[in-house]
Amino acid sequence: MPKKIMIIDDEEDMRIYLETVFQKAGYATETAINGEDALARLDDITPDLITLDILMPQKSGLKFFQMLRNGTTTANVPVVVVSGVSGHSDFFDKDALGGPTVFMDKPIEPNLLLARAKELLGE
Amino acid sequence: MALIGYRMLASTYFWVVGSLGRLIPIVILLTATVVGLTHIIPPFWSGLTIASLGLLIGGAAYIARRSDIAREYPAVDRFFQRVPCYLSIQDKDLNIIRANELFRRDFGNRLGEKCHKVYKGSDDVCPNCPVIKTFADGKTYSTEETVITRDGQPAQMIVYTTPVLDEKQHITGVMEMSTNITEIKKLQEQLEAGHKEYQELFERVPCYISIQDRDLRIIKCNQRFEQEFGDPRGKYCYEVFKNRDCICPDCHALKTLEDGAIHSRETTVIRKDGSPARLVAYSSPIFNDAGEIEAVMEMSTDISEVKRLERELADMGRTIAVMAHRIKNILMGLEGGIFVVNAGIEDGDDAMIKKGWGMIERNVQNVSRIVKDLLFCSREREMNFEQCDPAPIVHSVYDLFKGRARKGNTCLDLEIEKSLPDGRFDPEALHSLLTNLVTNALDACVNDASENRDCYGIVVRGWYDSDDRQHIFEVEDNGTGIPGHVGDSVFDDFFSTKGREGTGLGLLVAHKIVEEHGGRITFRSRDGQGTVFRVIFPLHESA
Repeated sequence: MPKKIMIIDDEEDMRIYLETVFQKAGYATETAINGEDALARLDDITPDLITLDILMPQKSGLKFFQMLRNGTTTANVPVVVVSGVSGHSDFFDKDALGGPTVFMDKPIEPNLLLARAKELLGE
Repeated sequence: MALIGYRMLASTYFWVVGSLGRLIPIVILLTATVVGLTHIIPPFWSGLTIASLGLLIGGAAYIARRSDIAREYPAVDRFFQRVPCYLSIQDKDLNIIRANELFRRDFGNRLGEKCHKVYKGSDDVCPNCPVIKTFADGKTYSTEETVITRDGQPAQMIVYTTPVLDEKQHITGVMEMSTNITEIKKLQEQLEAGHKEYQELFERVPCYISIQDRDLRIIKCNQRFEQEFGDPRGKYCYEVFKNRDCICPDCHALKTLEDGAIHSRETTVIRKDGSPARLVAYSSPIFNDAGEIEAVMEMSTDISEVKRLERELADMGRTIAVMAHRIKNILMGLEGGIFVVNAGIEDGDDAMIKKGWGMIERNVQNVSRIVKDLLFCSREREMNFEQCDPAPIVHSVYDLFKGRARKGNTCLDLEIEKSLPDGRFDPEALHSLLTNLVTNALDACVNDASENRDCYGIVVRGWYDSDDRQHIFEVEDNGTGIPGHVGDSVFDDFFSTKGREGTGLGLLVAHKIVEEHGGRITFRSRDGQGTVFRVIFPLHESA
């Protein structure tokens, strides 16, 4: 069974791109258009890794991240936080990141993204 | 006044001479001469000096009349000869019949020659000749004349004339006493020029200067100050600058009055036309002779324009940062699209290729929109006005967004009058304006985080107001709304709700387009309730 990556991004192009990158590398993907949509899906599935956009309508990436880390089954899911906003990692309390978390700035180079994902997945 | 003083003193003097005999007047004469001459130089026009000169002339005339004095008192004759001014006696024909040493030194031994010849090298009598006047009425006259000395140099003279009387009080000659005031004149002119220059500088310096007394009452100001704030004399500075009735908190002028140091601060004031101005004001002390601070000088410069440029620069910096962010996203979309297309080609997956190609197309469109917005903002794009019906433009914007709104779970409606009169529009700019307003409305709906809204809606309206002869367009949404504190700055600054498709320049572009059409744009909004943007274009019938 391939590992499952959940891609949370409000931009369709970004979702298609990340989906393709991970699928080409042999991962299964699941997409959500915002934090609320993602939370609803987490009831049914537990992803092995999440890529998370920060600035999104409805429920922001930051709010979703906090809820994720507070969840009993999701607290330790590795997260790649992706954003086009420079210094976006400053929004996060580094001492309270909980599970494994890395930050990446757009534009994202596919090989680098895969390398970071593999690290987080322990591959 | 000076001459009256002189006459009184001269009369008194002659009375004393007549009464006290020969020696006393000579003593008085010498004393008066010393006193007079020590006062001649700086304030030579002062009453005391005139009086002293009067005494001197009177004394000299007396000596001239009484030649026996010269014979009997050689000291007095020496005085006539050595007095440090030009002394001469002229007969009725203006011939010089007697002259002192200084006169002879600077004009030559010219006894028997006409005074106008000697003084000016002229054969003609000078206009308003004071000697002739004195011969005519026996009175004393004074005048200023330019003469030529024997070395050919012009000299400015102050000339006094007084009659020389015989025993029967007949005028036998006129005594003329002249003092060279060329240097004094030059200094006076320099002083006047310097004063004029400083006055000019004070008046025209491109800042507002006022002098305030210890109560902060304005006692003097320059022209520029008066132009902007009206005549402030006698009013308090806080009254003139701020329409206040008490001293401003943290008043820098008051600090200067207290510690004698220069203080400054930035402040907003109200001009006489009611418009605000941002000033940087400096206050410095003015001391009296005792070294006490008796007033304060305040110098202010209008920095409204600098502040505006500062804001514009900050806005530009912000805009560039956001544009960089947008471009980065587009680049990401393009790179992503290429990646997906390549993956599709590699796998022979047409659907994937199509997906990737769609990404590339969308992002190329985004680049095009950014460039257009930037061109509108920078006014690089000239308006291309034409008489046209705006309705098809509104319809095309509606058609453009119908699908997108549906995808964003937002209902887009169009309410437009069937027939609108033609107006003077740049069709492409009008399209761009409405596109920006609808994009913003769509973002405001999609980005709304409130969880109890049943449905989102946008209405685009267009109608013609025949009373005021203007086209009106509205875009109304029930999205996030604009926070009250933002106000009209939505049109000045970069403003964004992180629109997915917006460039962040939308309202700035909209504002510029409306301005170029001679129209106006307004909005009303309630935070969390939605926003209505209204654009009004007055009807221009001729292109």
